[in-house]
Amino acid sequence: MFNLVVALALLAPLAVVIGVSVNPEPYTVFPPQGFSLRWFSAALGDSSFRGSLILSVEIGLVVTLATLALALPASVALLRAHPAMSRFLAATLISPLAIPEIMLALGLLVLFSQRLHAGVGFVPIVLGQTVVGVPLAVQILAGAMISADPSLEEAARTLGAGTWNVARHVTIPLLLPAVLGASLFVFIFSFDNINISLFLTSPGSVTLPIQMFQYLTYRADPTVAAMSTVLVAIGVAAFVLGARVGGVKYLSGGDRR
Amino acid sequence: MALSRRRVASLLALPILAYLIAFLVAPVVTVIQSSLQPTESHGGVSLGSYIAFFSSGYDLRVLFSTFIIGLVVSALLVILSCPFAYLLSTRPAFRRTILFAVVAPMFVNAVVRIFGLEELLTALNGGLIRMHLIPSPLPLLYSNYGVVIGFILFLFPYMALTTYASIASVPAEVFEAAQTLGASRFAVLRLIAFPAMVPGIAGGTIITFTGVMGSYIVPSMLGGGRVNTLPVLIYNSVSETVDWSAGSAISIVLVALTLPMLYLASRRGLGTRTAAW
Repeated sequence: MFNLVVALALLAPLAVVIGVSVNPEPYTVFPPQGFSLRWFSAALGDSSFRGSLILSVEIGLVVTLATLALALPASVALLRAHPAMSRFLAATLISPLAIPEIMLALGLLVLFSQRLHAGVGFVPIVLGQTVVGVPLAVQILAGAMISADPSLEEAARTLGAGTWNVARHVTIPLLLPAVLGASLFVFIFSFDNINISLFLTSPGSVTLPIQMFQYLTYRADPTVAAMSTVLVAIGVAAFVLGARVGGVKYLSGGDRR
Repeated sequence: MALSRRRVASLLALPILAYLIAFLVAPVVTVIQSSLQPTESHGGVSLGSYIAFFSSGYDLRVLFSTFIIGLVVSALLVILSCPFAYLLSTRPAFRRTILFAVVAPMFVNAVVRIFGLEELLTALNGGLIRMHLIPSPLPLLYSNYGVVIGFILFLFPYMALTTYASIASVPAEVFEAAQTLGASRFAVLRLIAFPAMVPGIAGGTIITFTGVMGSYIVPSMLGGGRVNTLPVLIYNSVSETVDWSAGSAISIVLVALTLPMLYLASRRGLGTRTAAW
């Protein structure tokens, strides 16, 4: 009973967002006084929201690809390298999580705008989010690689499969769910990121969370509620999908570090 | 043969090592340098930004209130998480549903969740006033209370799950055996359940402190400009005063406070994970 109340309390803010977004009146109120979808077309028709949404998706995709490109070989190294090297790698790969994102973002800001005179925006945001994305991806990928049964690869080799065939028919199918899970998780991490984007956005490139944060500083209206409802749907869908393809389980508990 | 394969495997780590040197180590070194930068533009090293921080009554009050918020949030989370974890581990009814409710919101954007919380608390105040239970709105928003409520919403999953992971490692038979042997319910809680939860509580407390010290958005949106924590000071040094040296020095203070906690957690093998927002 207590736990059901807790569960309801945790879901309540999301339910309220949805309630506010379907309210037909041009002010925020909960419970809603009616039902209307007009604010959804307003939100998606708003050029700054739409631009930010597209930018956030673009950044998320680039961060996901960059993270996988770095994390996949790193995970293999973590498992296959000499034990001493492997211990060093494990500590190094987890180290980004020990540095507050705010400090990383500030460092990138000073580095790019003061030292390199390069300006901020898309590139440093991607670079910074990838730093934090890598340990998340490595936890999922290395976790899956550890629990994959090595005798399956061995059996394939014994039965005469070459390196390529072992990879194509055994290793890749075994790891595919973890790769999908890691991609999904890193994408959502990037898409939702606030701390790194906050310091590194430039007037032309404002990610969606920062856009909504700045919007809410001035006014809370059903348009931003409708955009929020879209994000609730994306978040819950990502969670359900992530639970399906697996991989998320390697993140919690931390026993696989 | 085995050795050369290991060498090859080690080479696979080169890209990430190079990447982390360029985009993690270099920014951190930049922050250290920037924090030591003298205010006048002649070269050299100066502790001026640190001295300014530690001699400013305002900055020290912010440091203190960051710590107090961390402490209050941790205490409230422990009070909530202990019964939650105990009930979840001993009663399987709705376990999946409850875990869904705990984990799923973590995938939703923090700005959205805070916005929902603001609307919820506003509606709650409105409802209480309409029912004539309170004469004027409770200060649930744009105050220390709002910030604490916000942090509880965000950090509860971490505290609850680490605590649950600890107590779930105790087989259910242990509780049954204790009861069969005549232990009272209170004795079972005090002698078995609570000690089993302590590692999770310790890990959860560290996540809570690092979470409070790592979040700009919660104090900024729910504090209404009245509640300042170290991350708010850091961001203000960038967005308002444009004193990057001050912001850098405060970041170093922040890391000096959080790193020992995380180090301790990793040494003790406590289940921790930094919050992703």
